Amino acid sequence: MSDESQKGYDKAFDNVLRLRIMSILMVNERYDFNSFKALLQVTDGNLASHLKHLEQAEFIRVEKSFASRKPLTTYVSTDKGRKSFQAHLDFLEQLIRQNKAS
Amino acid sequence: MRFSIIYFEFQSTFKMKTPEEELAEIKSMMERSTRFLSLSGFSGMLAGMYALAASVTAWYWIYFPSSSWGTGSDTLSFRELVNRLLLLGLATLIAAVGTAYFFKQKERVGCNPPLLVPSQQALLTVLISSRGLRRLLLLCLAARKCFRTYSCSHAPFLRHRLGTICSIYPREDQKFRLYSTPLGLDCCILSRFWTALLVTRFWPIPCNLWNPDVLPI
Repeated sequence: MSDESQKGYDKAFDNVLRLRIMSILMVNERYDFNSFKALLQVTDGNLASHLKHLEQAEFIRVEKSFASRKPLTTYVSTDKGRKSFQAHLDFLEQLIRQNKAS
Repeated sequence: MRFSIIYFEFQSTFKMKTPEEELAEIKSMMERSTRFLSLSGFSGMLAGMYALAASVTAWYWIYFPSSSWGTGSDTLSFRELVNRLLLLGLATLIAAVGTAYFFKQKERVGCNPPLLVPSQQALLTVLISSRGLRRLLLLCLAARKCFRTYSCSHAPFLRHRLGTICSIYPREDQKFRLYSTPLGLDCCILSRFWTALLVTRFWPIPCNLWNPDVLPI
């Protein structure tokens, strides 16, 4: 893939689950682990590994708190994550436009 | 086409089909995670049917009490009519909510999607919380007192004051603040709308009906 075509493309969004997680965090200020699990219909391990991947890429931030004495893990998108996601959307749009033109 | 083929070669295990489908997927996920309440269309249709049935019944009670659709007896007294209408409204509400709940539970069996997403939970928590109830009680008491003592010319002033009281509480609540975007605006609008509706439409009716001094007829 040429540099020009890769502009805006991020490997973190290779996986559809990571893309879904970021989509959710783009429109929700924060989202907790159990709600992610219920909405995305995935296993704990699978979800945790993808969240970890996004966290390592500094696209999301983890916040731990307690709700009714139970631990509550919530996730928030960072500025970097938002910008990367927007760039990825632009990349997809560009692909669509190029496909239509060709 | 060349770019998209190269792009999708880069994708790993979970493969998307086309960029269009990927964008559609993103949009759908954004909608599903922020949707206020996802009820089945059938429950909405049934709720509409209950409402129609109830309105037909109410219409016959009011205008043709002696017909076969109504009571089959003479004209209803005012108090009897009000009681019946209130009960009918309550029964319709319970039936509609019950049906929606039943279908939601049925839908949840198997795939188990969340009944409420976090934004909905936050909104309901604020509305049902003791602070929310306290505000509501305050509004009701204020409205009741004002409608008895002030004349109609003071109503806009009262409405403004109550609207202000109600719009403050979402900002005070910590739990609400957690989900302030994009729900903050919704909840603020909802609370204003709710207050306006409560004060201007519904509350004067029971106030006037249950207080014999100010009965409308």
